[in-house]
Amino acid sequence: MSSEEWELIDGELRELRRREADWDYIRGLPPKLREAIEVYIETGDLWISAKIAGMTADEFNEIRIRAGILH
Amino acid sequence: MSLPSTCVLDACFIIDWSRWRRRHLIKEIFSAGFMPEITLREVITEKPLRALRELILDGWLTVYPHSRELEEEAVSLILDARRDPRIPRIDPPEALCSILARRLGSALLTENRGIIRAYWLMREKFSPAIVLNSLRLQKLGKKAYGFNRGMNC
Repeated sequence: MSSEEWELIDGELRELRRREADWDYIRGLPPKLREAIEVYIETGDLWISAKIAGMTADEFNEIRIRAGILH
Repeated sequence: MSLPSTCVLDACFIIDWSRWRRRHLIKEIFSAGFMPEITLREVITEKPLRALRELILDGWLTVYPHSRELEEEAVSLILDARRDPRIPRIDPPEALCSILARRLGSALLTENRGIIRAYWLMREKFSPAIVLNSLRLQKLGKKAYGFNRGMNC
C-alpha cells in the first residue's frame, strides 16, 4: 500500500471518530481530559492520550468508551 | 498459519480481550503468556485486572521484568518506525512488547495500529515474532480449535 492509501485509511478513521464522538459529553469534561480526548480523536493513539490525561491506558479507555468513540 | 507456542500481551489487547466471555480460550492457543512490567502498570480497571489475575494464578502469565537492554531496543524500534511516514506513532509500552515477542519468538497480541502497520511494512524488524490483534486471534482460534460462538461479551 502506498502512503496515500494509508493516509486515506487514517483520514477515514479520524473522520469516523469525530462523527461518533459524543461532543456534549466531551465539552463537559475537565480541560485536561478534553484535550486528551481530542488528541485521541485526531490520532487514535490510546497511550499518548492517556498520558496527556494523566491516566493509565486502561483508565483512559473507559473515558473513550463513555465519549462514544469506538474506533 | 502455525502459531508460536507463547505470546506477549499488550495492554490494549488485554483491555479489549477481557470483555470477551470465552477469554480463557487464549490458554488453549498458547502454552504461556508474557507481559512486560511497564505494560502491567497500564492496567488498573476491574475487568482487565480480573482477567490478568486469572491468568497469573493459573501460572500461565509471567510478568517480565523491565531492563535497560529491552528499553534500548524498544527506542531503536520506535525510531525506525518514525522514519516511515506510513506508520503511526509507536509508543514505548507497545515497542517493549514487540521487542520481548521478538526475543521469545512469540506472537505479539496487540490492538496498536502503529505496531500492526509496522509489522505489515517492516516485518523483518519483528521476525521471528508474529503480530495479531484480537479479531485475527479469534479467526485463527476458530480455524484451529473450532471456537467462535460465545466469544462476544
